[in-house]
Parts: sequence; structure tokens; C-alpha cells
Amino acid sequence: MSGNMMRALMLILLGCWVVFPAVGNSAAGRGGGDALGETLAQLARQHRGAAVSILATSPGGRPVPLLTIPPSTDPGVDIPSAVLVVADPLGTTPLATEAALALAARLLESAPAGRAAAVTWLIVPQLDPDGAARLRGDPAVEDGRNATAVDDDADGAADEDGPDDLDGDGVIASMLLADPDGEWLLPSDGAPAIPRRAESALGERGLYRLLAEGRDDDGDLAWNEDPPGGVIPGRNFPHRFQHWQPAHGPWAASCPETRALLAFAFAHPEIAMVLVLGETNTLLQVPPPADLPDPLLRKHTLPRGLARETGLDPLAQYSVEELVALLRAGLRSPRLEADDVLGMLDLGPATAPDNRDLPWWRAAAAAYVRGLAAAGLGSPRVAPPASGPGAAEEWAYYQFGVPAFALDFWTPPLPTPAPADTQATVAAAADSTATAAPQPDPAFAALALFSAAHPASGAWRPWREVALPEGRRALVGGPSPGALRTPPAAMTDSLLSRQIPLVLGLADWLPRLSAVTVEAASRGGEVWEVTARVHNDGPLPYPTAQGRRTRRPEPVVVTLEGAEVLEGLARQVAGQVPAMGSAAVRWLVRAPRGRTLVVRAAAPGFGAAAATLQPAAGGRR
Amino acid sequence: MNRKGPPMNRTLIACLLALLCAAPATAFEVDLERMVWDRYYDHDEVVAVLEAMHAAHPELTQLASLGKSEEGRDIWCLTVANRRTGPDTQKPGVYADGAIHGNEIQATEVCLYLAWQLLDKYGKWDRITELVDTRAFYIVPMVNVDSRARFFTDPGGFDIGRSARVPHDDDRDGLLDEDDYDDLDGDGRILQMRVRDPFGTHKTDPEDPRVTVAIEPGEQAEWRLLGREGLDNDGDGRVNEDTPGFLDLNRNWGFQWQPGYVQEGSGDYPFSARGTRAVADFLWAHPNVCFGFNFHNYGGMFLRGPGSPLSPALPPGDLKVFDYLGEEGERIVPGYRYLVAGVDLYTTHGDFDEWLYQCLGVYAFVTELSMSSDAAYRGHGDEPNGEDGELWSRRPTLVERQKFNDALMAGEMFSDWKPFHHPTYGDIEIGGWRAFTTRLPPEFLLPQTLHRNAMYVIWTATQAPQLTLEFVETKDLGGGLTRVRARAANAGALPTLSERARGKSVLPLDAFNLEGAGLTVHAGGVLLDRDFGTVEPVRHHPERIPTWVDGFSTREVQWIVSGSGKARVTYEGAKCGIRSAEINLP
Repeated sequence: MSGNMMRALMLILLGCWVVFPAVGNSAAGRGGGDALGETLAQLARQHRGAAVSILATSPGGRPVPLLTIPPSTDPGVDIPSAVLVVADPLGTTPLATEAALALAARLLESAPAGRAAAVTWLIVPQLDPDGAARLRGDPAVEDGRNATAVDDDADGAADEDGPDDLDGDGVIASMLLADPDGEWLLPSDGAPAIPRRAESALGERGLYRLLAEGRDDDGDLAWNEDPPGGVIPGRNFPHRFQHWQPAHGPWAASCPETRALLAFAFAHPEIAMVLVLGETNTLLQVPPPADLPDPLLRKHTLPRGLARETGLDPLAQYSVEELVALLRAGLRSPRLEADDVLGMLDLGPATAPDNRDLPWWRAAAAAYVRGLAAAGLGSPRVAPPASGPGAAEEWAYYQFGVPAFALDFWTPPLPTPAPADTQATVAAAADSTATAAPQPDPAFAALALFSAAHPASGAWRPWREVALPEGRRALVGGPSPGALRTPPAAMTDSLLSRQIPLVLGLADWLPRLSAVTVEAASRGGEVWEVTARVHNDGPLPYPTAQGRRTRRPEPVVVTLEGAEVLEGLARQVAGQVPAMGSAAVRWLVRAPRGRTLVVRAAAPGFGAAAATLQPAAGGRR
Repeated sequence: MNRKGPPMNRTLIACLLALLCAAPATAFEVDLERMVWDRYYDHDEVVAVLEAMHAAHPELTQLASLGKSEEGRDIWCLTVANRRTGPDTQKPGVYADGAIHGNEIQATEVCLYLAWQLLDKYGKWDRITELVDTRAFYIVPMVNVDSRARFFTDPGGFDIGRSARVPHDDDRDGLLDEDDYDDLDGDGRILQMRVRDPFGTHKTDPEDPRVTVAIEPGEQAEWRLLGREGLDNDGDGRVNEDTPGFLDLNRNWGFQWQPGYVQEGSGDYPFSARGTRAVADFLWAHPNVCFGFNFHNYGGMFLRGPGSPLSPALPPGDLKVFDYLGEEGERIVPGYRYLVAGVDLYTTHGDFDEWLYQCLGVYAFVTELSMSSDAAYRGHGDEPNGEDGELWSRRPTLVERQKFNDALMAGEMFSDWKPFHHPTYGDIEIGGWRAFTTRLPPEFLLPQTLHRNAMYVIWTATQAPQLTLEFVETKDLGGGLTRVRARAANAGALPTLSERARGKSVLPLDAFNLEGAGLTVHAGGVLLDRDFGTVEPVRHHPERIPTWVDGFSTREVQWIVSGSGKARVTYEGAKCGIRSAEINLP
């Protein structure tokens, strides 16, 4: 099938998808369901080179689309490096999907600057279409589970007790269920009313339980304990996956959306960076280093089997440096390196960024924060949550072995603190036993204040009493579904137009195989020592330290043609190429003077380059 | 149908069907009446036997492909369960598979023998007949079907072919599977290479010139070992460093799966291989399975989890069940050890038994079949007294193995060293242990291995939950109220749900149900003390009482109802089926 025929077929398929019936209304979201399909189809029609394919079909029958945007400038290699963008993996952040679309539009409609123009962008604008549809549904629910029916409470029935729109306002908000054993209060002294936990130490007694709006549909004394749907794709990735957690799936990669993304990524070694657009931001909050000392710097005991195999003392403690030397001999593996040894020590999976990766991560974060401030977005706002278990961005860094960042685009601003009452502050500081007045959750407070300032947003819903069939009293209100991450529509364009350049700018952090240089030193007669240096003009090493450990990124292969190799291999692998630096490979060759030697270096996800040299001329090119 | 039917006719039909179905046609003829078990069956023969079994016993078997392998072979599952006594999914299930590691081929023979034993003895041995009538056996003889098939057809060795046929860049040079072993001398085998080297590491054993042993301090070497037969195919200065694969299917399961940098060979993500995925989908769809056996081939061990320090400890109730099953296994298969994989052997993540137990709540073992000590040449008192399992302490020495080879195998286990001129190493010698040795017992030892291990699986099937509704009784309480009591009894050793399944909500609890037109259930619950009528009440929907029944135990429930007429009490559980009784309310 020709490329044009394939393209025509894809457009027909997309046309079918455009009329895919949307679930519910679209009151709470934009850029989802049929609108997303239409947008992507338009992009594919209007821009030569852009292509849309379907990565997977969700359990709810919705497509998981992939938009491929080739480089807008000549990348100089057959297979350019690629950036994989995964948006809204938790199904609760429509702004992330809009950001992915805005990113695509920016790439296609105006040539980006820097590395962004020279890489392929692989954009998955909505990894969790079922969850996203639920947020757009009627009623709108913030619950990213896909449509797999799961018996969450193991009572023999699936999806029998989900939330209910008790007040008929079209959304599932929060519910304060009157309960003498409850932990929550709804103080009446503030406007808007924001629930907070009762402080028993201050003599307060809770009056409510805080739940999602709903009834005990199946009469089991539990509310909303078995909602529709099953697995959140953004909790189903295999790093730090948690078994037996609601909505995480029975095991990692069990849901089709996640599994398809994993299969796609492993089939595309040119992917050099992963950006996850959602509710987390690992550039605003760089993950902390590990509690334990760096495994490269501490001593280790050997697993019993390895000690037996190598004849080393199973009770002794060895440094990694010692083990490299001992195991090279014991296992007859002269090429064994420190990262290989780490893999033999039963250390388990990494749980914090490799210390060698933290400097570039922090530098990228600092540049991002400066960019936000320059764009007028540096004001304090509600902190985005840290990455959770089974998150896409953690998988990408820890297992796929590439630099990976998670980005969010909005949370409500934190209220500006009132000017301090100096005397009161001093007095409070002097009285160390003073107890601060209980405060509501800062995110709740910020959202409520934001909603008060932007009433049309409906972000915070006033509490209204509803009747429950059980004869119990309840109040319904609080945050609207998705409101903590979804600004009013009028703000969206401005927010994204100021942040998309920062997303594009992350491509500038990619390592890049910029050149190969070759030198030949005469060793007498026709014998030469040839040294090739592979240069990286990017600010990150290739691969990262964690990438080396995973052994997943493709190696940098360096080949020599045009001479008889006397020592060394005609095809060699360069080790890690440092940021803004080079890695060398050497050969001893025999070549007549004037013979042209050709050296090539390449790695998918890093680049390719070639150089020639005529030994008689000496020097380098 | 006459179960006992004319056996010859049945067999003939089976043979004809098997021949018709087998593609491509094979000279192998299946005779189920005269099956021979002191031999290994290749891929086509295994498929022919499965088809013949199904053709001969259509009421007792189903044969289905769970999926296709990477090379397009079917992954077959034979279900043995009498359909006339109810659907298999409503009977306690026993799952067994083999050859998840393609070179561990006798695991397939155990599976085949298990199926054959169940079918051959059906109608002849009462206990087997009862089991086939009341249980479901799911048998997948070849999980890693590609590599097992190639074990018979490609030049190989006893430890070649473990991986699934998923290309992998073992040596991280950007190429996939580019430096496989080579049959240098064209004898159809991949043996060992050695070169004379006075500064090497080994010498000829003074007791047997075929044996090469490591030198002791102060000894002069004669040989340097060069590894398995092969060339430097890719010119990288290494020999055989990137052979086909490596994806170890028994590291690719979904519980506590870890990537390759934590554990080599685990695949890109859980169930990334077709074989594991196919089996997992099947087991997920069969919650009636109570036991799982994953047969391997070396060491004589019944291994249970945890295999990894990342795995949670077993709850005490399940630990007792595992101990009971494992210790009985040690008696049924003497010499085998019941061990904890991660403690007694080594750490593994993402293996079969942990996934089956932790994620599906099924009691599961990895059975390492053969003991190399079976192929020993030893007199009374020569047995080393090791306590750490067959794998380490009871191995016969190489000289003992040669004596066994000479005395019992006419020397067929070993290829004598022969000179060969290697393009890289120069004049070398090629020789060593052949493929069907070492981890594979000589064929004459197979029948006992197969029988004992198959009978152990069959014994465990007898321990599955055996539930009966022992009684249902009513008592008129006056004023229109009736007390209904029902008791379920489990005559099996296993609980109707494992403690893991209950504790982690892996499966719904079983339930007693009381239903009847015009019946009002006022209260219901598990009876804690029948003498005093103490009840643990179910507060909502009391007509349904979620519960389970421990092994060799009973569970009694009580309802207070009003109404009259017929009513039905049922007990329903994923692993024990449905039992029901009708009652008449006054």
C-alpha cells in the first residue's frame, strides 16, 4: 500500500471516529471525545507529514490516538530522535489534552526554534479516553478508570455502587455525610464554607464523613465503593506498581491503553525523551535523592548464587570498584562495568533518581522555573501532587531509561498572605505552646477563593442539603470535578500559549551526536593508531546514568572502514558520551598513505555522524 | 455413552483422527493403549498425542489453542473434565504446564503423562474416575512451544533453548541474536570446546581422561575451556555472546515483575511474551483453578514463593496449606525437597507461582523435576549427606557420571573429545555431554519421574475443596417466623478460598443464598455457636451471607424468615461450584 493510500485510509478511519458517539455532554471538558478526533483529523489533513494512527482501543471502545509530527528541519539522519508526549494518563486533566493539541498546533503551524524542529514528536493526546469521557459525562465524574467492569469490593457484582448526582446539577461533587463518627467539620464562619478535619486535641468533634456524592446503591453500608470502570492507565505502568490497590489493575500493563503504549515505546528506540502532561510536575518538584547512600559508593555483600559461582566470600563486603575487578576475573568478562555489577547485586529497582542524573534534572528544572517566571506564571500556586505509583513518567525514566519529565499547566493560585501583624507574630513565636488555629486543606481553600473570584467557573460549589434514601442528612458541594486542574475556558489559551514554548524548549536538553572526529597517529610504516571521538553537544549525557543502568537505550556504534584493523574491532560500541563532551574509541590499523578511512557513529535517539581521514594527511577532520 | 466401550475401536478412531489432523503428516502413530513413556516426544508428536486423546475421549476432554507463539505455533491446552457431570468451570480446577523453559523438555512429558493417566484410568480406577467427574484438569504441555520444538530439530545442548524466541541484544552492540552457537563439526550437536594450554585452568582427570577438571593450586594446567561450540560470527572478539532470545518466560509474569536491570531476561514489561500472556488470559478466565504446577527440570524441588524480598509474606493459613501440600510431595516423590524459592534458592521476580498465588489466590508450585543424583553411579554409603537440596550437594561427580554413562548408557551420553581446527583458536578439541543428558534424565529413568509427579498432581486434586450442603433445617419459631439453618461441609484439605484471595479481595467471597417467592428474610448471618445461637449478622441483604469454608471444616448459617412455601438454599463459590437444596417453609 502506498503512503498516499495509507493516508487516505487513515483519514477515512478518522472520519468514522469523528462521528463516534460522545458519552454524555461536554460541559466539564474540552478537546476530548469527538472534538479530539476532529481536531486531529484536521491537523492531519492540513499539514503534510503529520499522521494520525490509533495506538489502542480502550475497553470502552474509544480510540487512543497517536499524532506523529516529523521534524520541520532536516535532522541530518535517517531516523531522527523522537520525543514521546503522553497526555492525561489519569483521565482527569483535560487541560493536558489541550496542551498536547496546542503543542501539536504550534509545531505544525509555526516552525519551532532549537532542537524541537529537528526531532519527531510522537503525541498521545489522551491515554485514558474512558476516564476523560467520564469527566465530560452527565453527570461529570472525576474518576480516571477505564471502562473495564471490575468488582472493586469483591462482592460478586461489578460496578454496582458508583457515585450519584443527588442534587441533579449534572456533576458529581463532594458529599458531607452526617455521621457522629465522622472526622470532618464544615465551619460556618467562613465564606465560602470549606470543610476541614476536626481537631480532637482542641475539643472538636467531627460531624461528617467526606465522600463523593452518592448513595449506598447496594445497601452494603459503603458509599460509592464499586464505581463504574476498572483501571486507570496512568497507574498501570510497571515501575513502582502497587498490587491490590483500587483502580491500579491486577498487575502492571494489564490494561490495553498502557500495554499499547509500552509496546509502541519499546518498538521505537529513537524515542529519546518522554514528556507526560497531566497533574504532576517533576520540574517544579524534582524527586528527592535516595535515602540510602549511592550504591556506587557503598559496600555490598554478594548474592549467594553469585558468590558460589565466582568463589568469592558470601559474607564479605565489597565496593563496586572491587567487584568490577573481581568479577571480571571470576566471570571471565573483561568488559564488565560498574553498572553491570549493580545489576548482579539483587539491589532491586531504583526508587530515586540516580545521583549522577540529578544535576541535569535540577538544571532543567531551574530553567523551567525561570521560564515560567518570565512568562508571568511564577506566582505561588497549589502544589501539584508528586508522581504516584505506576506512573508513566516514572516508568519512562526508571525503566525505559530516557530523560522524562511530568508537566502540569495550572492549579489555583495560593492566596496572598495578609501583611503580618508583627506584634502578634512575635507574641506567638514567644509562646511555644500556642496552637495554630485549624486550617482547611490549602488546595480546598485556594480553589474556593479562586471560585469566589471567578464565579462563572463554578469551580467550588456551595454546600446544599440533599435527602438520602437511607434517611440520613448530607450536604453536597465543594470542588467541581477536575476543577483543581482545570482553569476557566477563558484562561486556557493564555496559559498554554505561555507554557507551550517551555515544553518545546525541553527538546533542547536532548543529547545530540553532533560530530565524529578522527585522528591518526603514525606507528611506523603503514601502521596507524586511529582515534575517533563521538561528540555530544547536548546538555545531557547519552545515555543518562539510569539509562546506562537499564541497558535499554541503544548503544553508540562506531565503525571503521577503509583499513585493515590490527587491534580493536571494526565495529565498536562507545560507552556513555558525556554532556558537552566526547567518548573515544581506538583502533590500530594498517593502511597505505592516502587511503581514505571512513568512521561512522550512530545510535537511535542520539544521532548519527560520519568522518573521513586520509592518514597521510595526518590531523583530523 | 458406554464409558468402557470397545477400547480397540476407540483407539483406532483416535489414531485415524490424529493422523488426519496432524499437519504436516508425521510417521508417528499414536497408540493410546500402548503409550510408551521411556522416551521424549517432539513437538509434532506431542500435538498428535493431544489430538488422539481428545479424539478418543471427546466427552472427557477439550483441546484448545490458547494462542500463537512468536513463531506461530499453537499453545495447546487439554482440558480433562467430564462434561456430562457439569461444566468444567464449576468444578475445582487443577492447572499444570510444562516447558516454560524450552530446554526443560521432560516437563512436557509429565503433563502428557498426567493427561494420559487421567484418561487411561478413567472407568478403571475409581478415584481417577471420580476426579475426572468432579474436577477439571487444565494441561498445557508446551508453554515455550517454539524453543521446545527447536530442542529436537536444531543442533543444541542440554542448557540451550531456555528463552522464548524473542530477539534480544544480549551484548548491547545494537544487533539482535547475531552470534549464535555453531555446529562446527556437523554432528548435529553443540558441545564444548577446549584448547591445550599449559597456562590454562583445567587438566585431564587422572581417573577418567574424558573428564576435564579445574586445577588445584600448585598444579600445572593442560587445558583452557573455550565454552560451547561456536564462532565469532560478528567479528567482535567474542564467541556465542548473542544467541537467540533472551526472554525468560518464568520472569515475565505479572506479580512484582521487575525490568531487565533488576533481573535479566524479564522482558520489556509483564506478559510481553505471547506464551505467558496466553496462559495468563486463560487462568484469569478460570477462577475455579485451585492449584497450579509449573514443571521445570532440574534439582528435585517443590518451590513455593516468596521468590523475592519485595513480596509479602504468606498469611499463616495459607502457609499451613503450602506446608501440607509440599511435605506430602516430598513423600510421594522421594528425594524432592519442598523449598521456599527466594530463601532456599535465589531471588526471582515475576515468576509463575508467585503470580498465580498472589494475584489469583491459587496455591502454586514450581516443580523442578529431575535429580542428577538419579543418574549416579554409587554404592551404599556413597551418598553425600547434603541438607541444602539436590541442586548443590547431591550432584554426582563428573567421574561418577561417566561411570553411569558407561555402565548404563553404553557411553551414549557423552561425545568423546575430537580434534578440530577452529578459525580463531586454531587446533582445539570438541566434545562433552550431549543434549539429552545432565538436566534430562536418561529415558529409562523417565517413567518413574513422570508417574510420581503426575500422581502428586492427582493427589493434590483429591485435596481440592469438596463441598456438600450437609443439611438444611427449619424450625417454626411461632408467630409466622421460621428459623432456617444450613451447613456446608468441606471434605477437602483446601479452604474454598485461599487466605490471600480473601484478604486481598482477589475473588469475591463464596456465599450462602436463601431465595423463595413470598419469603421475607429478616436476619441472617454466620452461626458462630450453634448451641447458644450466636450469630455474626449480615446487616444488609441478609438473604446473601458472604463466607468461605476452611479445609476439613464446616460453615453454618442461620436466617430468620417469614413466609411459607418452597425456598432454595444455595452455596456458591468460585472454586467449589454451586450446591443447593430445596426446603418447604411451614
